[in-house]
Amino acid sequence: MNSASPAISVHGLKKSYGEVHAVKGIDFEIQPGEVFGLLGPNGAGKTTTVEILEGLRPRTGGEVAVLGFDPDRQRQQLKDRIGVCLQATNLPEKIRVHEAMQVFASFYGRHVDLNKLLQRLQLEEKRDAFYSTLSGGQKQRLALALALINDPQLIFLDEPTTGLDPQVRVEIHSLLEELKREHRTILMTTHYIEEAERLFDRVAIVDEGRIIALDTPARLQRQSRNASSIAVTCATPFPEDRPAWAEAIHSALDCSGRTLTVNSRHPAGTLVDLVKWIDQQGLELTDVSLKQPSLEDVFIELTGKTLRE
Amino acid sequence: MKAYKALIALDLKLALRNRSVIFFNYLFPLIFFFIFGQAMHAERGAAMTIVISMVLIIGILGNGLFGAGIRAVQEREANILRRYKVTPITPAPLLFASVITGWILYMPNVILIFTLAHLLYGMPWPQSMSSILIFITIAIVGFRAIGLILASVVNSMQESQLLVQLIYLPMLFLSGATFPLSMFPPWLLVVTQFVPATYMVTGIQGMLLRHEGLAANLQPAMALLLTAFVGLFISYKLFRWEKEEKIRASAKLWLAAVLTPFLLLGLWQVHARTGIAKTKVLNRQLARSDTFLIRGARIFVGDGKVIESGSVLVRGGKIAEVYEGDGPDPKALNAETVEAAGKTILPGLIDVHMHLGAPGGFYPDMSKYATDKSMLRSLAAYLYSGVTTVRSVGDGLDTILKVRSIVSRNAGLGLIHLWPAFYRCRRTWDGVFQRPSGHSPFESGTTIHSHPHLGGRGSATSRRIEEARSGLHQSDS
Repeated sequence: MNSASPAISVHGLKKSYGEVHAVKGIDFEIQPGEVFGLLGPNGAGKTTTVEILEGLRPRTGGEVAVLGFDPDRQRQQLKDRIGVCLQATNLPEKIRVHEAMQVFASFYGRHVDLNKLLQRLQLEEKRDAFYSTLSGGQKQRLALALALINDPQLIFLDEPTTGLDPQVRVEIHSLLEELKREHRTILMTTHYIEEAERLFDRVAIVDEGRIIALDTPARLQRQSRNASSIAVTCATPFPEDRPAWAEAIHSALDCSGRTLTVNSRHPAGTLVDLVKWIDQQGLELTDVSLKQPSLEDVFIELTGKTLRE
Repeated sequence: MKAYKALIALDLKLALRNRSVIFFNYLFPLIFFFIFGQAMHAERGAAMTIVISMVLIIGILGNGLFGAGIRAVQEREANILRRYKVTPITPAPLLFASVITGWILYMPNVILIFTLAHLLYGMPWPQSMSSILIFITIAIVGFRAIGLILASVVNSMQESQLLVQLIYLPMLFLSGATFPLSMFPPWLLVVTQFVPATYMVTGIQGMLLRHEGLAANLQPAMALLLTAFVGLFISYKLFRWEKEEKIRASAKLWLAAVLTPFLLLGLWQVHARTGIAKTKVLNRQLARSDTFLIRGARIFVGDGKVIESGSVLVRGGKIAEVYEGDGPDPKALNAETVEAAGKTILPGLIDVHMHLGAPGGFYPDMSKYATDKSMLRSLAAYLYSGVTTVRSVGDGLDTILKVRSIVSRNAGLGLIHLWPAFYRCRRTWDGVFQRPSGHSPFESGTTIHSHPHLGGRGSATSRRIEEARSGLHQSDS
């Protein structure tokens, strides 16, 4: 595989379970070193797509190449090269952390130094602990350690932070950023917006088995019909008579009369104009905030659904 | 290969950390061993064979059906196999590790049970321990495979438990592992020939009581091996990593396919009946292998001496000792007491000239008589009336050889404790048993006597009889 060819290419991917069409024709390519996200509600077809690419289930139709392998026909070779962190897996209760690492290391053609991996995932203190005694975050760190055990260049992470408390989620995010810096390719699903905004180079929004939008998070947000909103607060109430600032769509005053919210497609221009006007009026500005539409807003706009319904 | 080793090591560690594995593999058999050992007076001999075969078979069934079967379903249901699915391994190392782990866990228990039986209950070490260990190994592999195929064809824990019970209970109760086969009516004995565990019971008992080797149990060993191979192959083919993958209900028929070798063996046995015959022989041998002390009887020792009140110790079907008076404390001898005051004990009598093949006299055409059947009947009658050795002359060679082989396999007769072995008279013995006035024995003259020890004690006061006895001992092979 030369470095220019994509790590994953998917064309017209379909998957049906009898009459149920879980994936109805999906296309995308993931470049080496890219962090690519699939965002969508439960049942959108994210997990099915990921599991087809991992070689876990056969596809019904379409062309798929993962690291140059066909996941249906070159399953073993593919599995030897990728790292996977599945949703809802378990290890035996009475397995010790280092034993789990050893057993999984034995499955692969090559593996990394296990002690270093334990260190990296802050599991050294737990190396002799039974799996059943680990906290949710520690279990997830172990799952990530197992996904990295064969030093994979391509990593699949299916909702790696779901159900974890925010502190642990942040820890995992920093690990993922580290992996990103190492130029590993990551395909990840999530339904946490902030995670997608923070980690993904590109995101595909999936709904009902189709990709309905695919771009960088920032560009998706910009394309949103929803405008950004600027809120300014002054020491004294705003005058009744206000001009139309550049690019502003709509403005509204709160009941105190001191906080003004202005919606705009191009908040940068509007904000400059607005602040100039406040200055001219001799008002004393006490607070400014700018809120961009989130991916969630984009998502709701595109699908009419919330992510966690 | 790395994966195989790592999974075996892991499975062993997990098993040793699991209390129920330790309980069912070690404690449970030991509890059975001691309870039944005490209750059935295993120290007297016969019961130890029953207790050992029972404990071993219960262990093998549990190890295979619960240890391999239920555990495999649990790992699937708990999403553990799902994690293995994204690694580059096939089901082979998982199945293989399960079989090997079961075996490694079980074998120390076998050694432990035999050692305890030897040390605590005085059971002699089996003549061919290696045959027993190989046979048990094959049984473990066979039953692990049955457990694994079972796991492959069920869709839930509930289903697996139901199916395990469906296999476990008949194997337990219809194999002689719990209820002795001697209690079974003939039709039920036929049913037992379709139950794989039956062959394990009769195999182990045969090895213990009759010093059988693996060769004598080749049929069940082959059937178990075939079951193991077919079972593992189909388990590999039907292997499912995730509980969400369901299998059609008709897949349960694979279980029947795996047990086909025993269906065929059972059908063959319905025809051949060697299995049932062996069961009967074992039952008789068990019945006589207890230790007992007959006390307070008048004893004709056989060398001319008469003990007015003496005791005879019988152990393992042989006279072990003759005492004047009451003899030692039966408890110290681990013997059952038979009070025989007022009765007389005689040595086995010897009929030195008789015609087994002609119970009603000679006829011009003897081929019209089913002499092989009448011979066995006459032998039984002789034995019943205290004659333990006969010398039959003038019989057809074919017939007498056939009868001899039946008797020497202990497959004929069925009346009392003592079973005649059966010898062709050697030429050099000519005249040994002959009365001065009798006619010369024929070339095919044969001597049938009880076990050599009894036969020996039963001889008359003659130096020539001593010679005859040594001749009999030499031919006892």
